[in-house]
Amino acid sequence: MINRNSAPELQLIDRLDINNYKKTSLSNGVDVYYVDSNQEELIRIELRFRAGRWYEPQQAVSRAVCNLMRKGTIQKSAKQIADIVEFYGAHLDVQSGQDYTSMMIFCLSKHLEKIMPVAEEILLEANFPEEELALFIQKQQQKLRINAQNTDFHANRKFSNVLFGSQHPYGYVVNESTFDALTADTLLQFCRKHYNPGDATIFMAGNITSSTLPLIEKHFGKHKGVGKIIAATDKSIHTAFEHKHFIDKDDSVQSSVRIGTLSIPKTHPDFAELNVLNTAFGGYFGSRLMTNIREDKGYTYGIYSSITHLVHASYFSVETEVGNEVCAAAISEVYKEMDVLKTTLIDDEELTIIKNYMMGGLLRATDGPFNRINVIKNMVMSNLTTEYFDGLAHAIKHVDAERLMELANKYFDYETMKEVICGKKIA
Amino acid sequence: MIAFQTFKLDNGLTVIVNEDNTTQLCAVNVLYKVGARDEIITKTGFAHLFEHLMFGGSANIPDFDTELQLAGGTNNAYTSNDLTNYYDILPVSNIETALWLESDRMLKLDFSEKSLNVQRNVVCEEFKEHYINRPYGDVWHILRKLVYEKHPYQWPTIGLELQHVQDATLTDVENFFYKYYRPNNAILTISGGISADNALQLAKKWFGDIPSGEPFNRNIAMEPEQQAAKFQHVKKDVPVNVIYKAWKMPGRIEPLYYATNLLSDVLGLGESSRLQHALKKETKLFTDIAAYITGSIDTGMFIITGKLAEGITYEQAEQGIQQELDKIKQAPITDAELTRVKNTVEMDIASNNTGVMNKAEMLAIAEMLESADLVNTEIHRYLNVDAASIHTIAQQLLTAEKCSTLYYGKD
Repeated sequence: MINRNSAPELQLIDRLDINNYKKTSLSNGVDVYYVDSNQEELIRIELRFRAGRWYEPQQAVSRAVCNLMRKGTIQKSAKQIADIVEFYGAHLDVQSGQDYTSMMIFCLSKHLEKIMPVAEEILLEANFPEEELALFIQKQQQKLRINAQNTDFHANRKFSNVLFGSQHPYGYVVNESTFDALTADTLLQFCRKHYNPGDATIFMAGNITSSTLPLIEKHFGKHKGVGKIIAATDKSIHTAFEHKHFIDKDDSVQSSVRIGTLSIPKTHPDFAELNVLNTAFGGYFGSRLMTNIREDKGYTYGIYSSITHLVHASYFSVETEVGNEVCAAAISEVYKEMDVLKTTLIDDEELTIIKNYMMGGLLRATDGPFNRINVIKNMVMSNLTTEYFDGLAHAIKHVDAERLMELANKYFDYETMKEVICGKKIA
Repeated sequence: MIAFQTFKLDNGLTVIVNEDNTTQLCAVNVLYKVGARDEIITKTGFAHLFEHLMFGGSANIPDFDTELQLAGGTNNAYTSNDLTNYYDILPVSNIETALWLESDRMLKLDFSEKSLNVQRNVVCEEFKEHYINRPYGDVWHILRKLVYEKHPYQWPTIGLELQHVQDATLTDVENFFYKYYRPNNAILTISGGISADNALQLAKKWFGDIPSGEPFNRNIAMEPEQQAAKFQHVKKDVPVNVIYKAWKMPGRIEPLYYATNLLSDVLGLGESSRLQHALKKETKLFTDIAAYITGSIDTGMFIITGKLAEGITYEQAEQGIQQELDKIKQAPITDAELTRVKNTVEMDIASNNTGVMNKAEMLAIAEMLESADLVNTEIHRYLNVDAASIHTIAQQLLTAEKCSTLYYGKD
């Protein structure tokens, strides 16, 4: 019989494949980053544009443009575009975001040359037919009515509103009237200004052959970009003054809770170590929050904390859905766990778990062509270099309990936390 | 193409290894051939509750997650109506940790009242989060009940009601474990930078001494052919009226499954599909419409579902669907349609076969269905389907008397 009482010997992770990528430029100066793998039959190409909420001249324009770019060009109807893309089993989407948007091409690499002309045509000639805009508005409004029945929808909206203010690009919320105010002309202008292939940054992964780069050059390399795009309006953050925000939803059986505050950017000296503290607090399944509130008390199916980094702001948040009757108890446990980290050192055993888990996380994040290109993308779009990962790995390996307690005292400040609850009021 | 080798240990455990040296990671996947279809109607939701308990400590290891996290790994699990699947992703240099953990919980769980209590509550909160506190959250409870009369597919994996989960006892847990969580009812797959020989040796080392369970026969009640149309109208305070139409269809590896799957794609997958183009774009009866299948091992469901546009009645919406059904029964689909759905399947299979985690999972599921070979050969079953066989299925399957229809909405 084997000895099952003691764990097999562990080996620590010491190597990350983060530098395993290539970079080239098209003749118009567009940078192309790529990770190739002959293991794959697939290829994914992402073109990043400065066309997110941050750059909008009017609320919801960015999202509408993303949704509608595939819905007709000067030469083709929405149906004709879908017929070509879907014939090859391919995916061609434009995904919205707070700062950037992405055109994503995902297909069997043998079909790429059939998809590329369509992608180029959409970027240059999307023409936003009135009929498609009307369908989009109807669908978005219907979606709003359905979402309005979800507590998490209200809590998420309120939370960004509270953190950033109702006029800020990261903070505003859309209503049915926001969509009614959209015009095809506004969308067209925004699209022409923000989706010039010459202003894109390109990220590719998968089966990249000798014909791939020439194909990219042919379709995206000849358009001259206009250079840096600057957002027009005032974008100052107005965080709500009040600590607690409650939305009453009488028919709910659970409450959605969001607690958080603005946080530091990736370039801040504390960033990497704060990441470790967040992991300990609520960043993984074995975290303090999960262990206490789910695994010990059974108040919730899940509770997590995270730090989100946008280009112009970062924020820390705790998210959970809990039974109405235990909502208050769960929230007080969240603050209690913050206090414990402020006053008691994390012991060696737990710290080792966190460190090993996080190194494994870095390994997973950079493993395989499709994961690795995402990491490269986030790095490039944040103006960072691979040294950033060395810094991250270094912090994970070397941060000690004293330093984490110091950070808890610096960043877990009840006074700055905002609390949003949507659920049924319990007397 | 996934290269792999299959072995069988003396205790009945199937071991499948895919060597992949392009990565520092490996995936260890353990599939147990048990799902919600193995439950009885008075104790539903049990297979899924049990999945939670698998993390509550085993004979020699009090905390599964801690040990795996120490090894730089992560894991998850899911339960479906047909199977329960667990997977661990970790550096291949630490693969033994995953094998130690998975084998210990296959050997013997540490059944405790506290763990059962907590997980009952966690699952109840999961039930509330996904099925109660959400508009249309109970649709699948209603639809499954309407479609299936005999087969246990009539309840979803979360269970029929909260009470069933609340009533689970330690004895239930123990009985379930020793019936279904035995090596002879499991498949272990490994994908990563390890040779098949090494992997087999390690599998033998950690799993070889786990006793087999008693062989058992599944006595699952098969669903009889439907003779008359079924209908249910549910009025709820939801903002949008929705319609579901479901037909029973061949199980996951029956010969006609493949053509049926392609038929659903022709009708309702993607914007160029018939239903989406005709009913969303042209007539604007729906704001969303799709056709898809459940892919169940036993008799599955072929589903058409859509959200009605504002001001459209259920009757108008149904008529729209019916016109498209009539068309697809009148004439075979075009060559372009056939090529499109085959290309889509090829793309899907290629995506599913990417990365160690997907590969390990796909191999295990294929092995349970028929043989691990399916991951490489199933595409040919799709490519061999012709327009004529899709036409025949449309005519025979999509009839009024074999259909169950659900209206669900404010009206």
